Amino acid sequence: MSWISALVLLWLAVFPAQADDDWDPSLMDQAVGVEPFGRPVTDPEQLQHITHDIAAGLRCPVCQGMSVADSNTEAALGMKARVSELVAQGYTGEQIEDYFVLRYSTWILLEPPKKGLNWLVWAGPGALGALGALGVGLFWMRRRAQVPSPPPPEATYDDPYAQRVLEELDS
Amino acid sequence: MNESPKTGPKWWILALGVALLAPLVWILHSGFGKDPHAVPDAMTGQVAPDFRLQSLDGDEVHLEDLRGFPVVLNFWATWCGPCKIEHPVLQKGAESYGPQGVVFLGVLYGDEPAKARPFLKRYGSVYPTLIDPDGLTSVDYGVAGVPETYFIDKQGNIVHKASYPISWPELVQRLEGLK
Repeated sequence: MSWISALVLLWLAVFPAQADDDWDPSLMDQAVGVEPFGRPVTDPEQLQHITHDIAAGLRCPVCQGMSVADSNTEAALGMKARVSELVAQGYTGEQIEDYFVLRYSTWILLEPPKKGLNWLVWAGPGALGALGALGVGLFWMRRRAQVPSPPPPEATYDDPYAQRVLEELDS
Repeated sequence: MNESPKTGPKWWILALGVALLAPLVWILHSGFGKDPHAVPDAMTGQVAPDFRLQSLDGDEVHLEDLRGFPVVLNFWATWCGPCKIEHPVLQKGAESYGPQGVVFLGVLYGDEPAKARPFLKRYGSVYPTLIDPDGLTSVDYGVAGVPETYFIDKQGNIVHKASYPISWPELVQRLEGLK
């Protein structure tokens, strides 16, 4: 028996029901899949406040640019109820956001997370503004360097002869 | 005699402009091809969230108990026009594929059982419709509106989500893939 086969057998002996563990109703009932990181919230006022804060960061899926907190549609009410339930169980805001992202993708977040290509959204306007300012600055400096110096004052001569010679030259 | 400095085209300015505009054009181009109201499907490929819901007839349905059978889970409502169009397709599907082991389940979304019962009596009901109090199961499935139909394989994984009224040819194609 090769050492790989032995390793596989050992693995199966230690984790015989690994595949079945994927379907864990208790975890699915909790709907998040992990234990809450925080403490259960029992105070109704605090629960409402935290629920509202989290719901304010979630996009209502059937509204136009409205948060779940601001909407009274069926979809938003269901989402608010789920947020409230998870907060009451002790799930943190980040865990609850993950729960929704898992189901609706990052589309559900009103503010895109600051990672990956999303940095373009956050840093793009500032970077473009800085680039524009740099361009304007460079243009202004070049323009200033190219402005011709004022011509020297024309020579004047008090001598009538010299004045006449100049007039002859100009004509 | 002095010559003025040679002023050629500013290629670097052109290159910078193109470099700045190209991503913008790409973003706009990709955005125009999409429905801005469409909610992305993040559920396909995931394990179907378990639920334990009561049917309109009072029976309890536990999804875990159906493991080993393909499941078609349809979220619907009586106030939803497209659901009425889709209803006969699903009924026909349940009649044809039910005997072959495919389980059809309806979940009432944002609606009342008192309205669903006469609807089903009038339009037919060959599979159970479940009541989802507070819409929590709908949220677990990432439902954004109705109709939405989830195709769950024998292992309990979501293999497809249809966020539109499903047609008979598509239903047959999906079910043949599930069997």
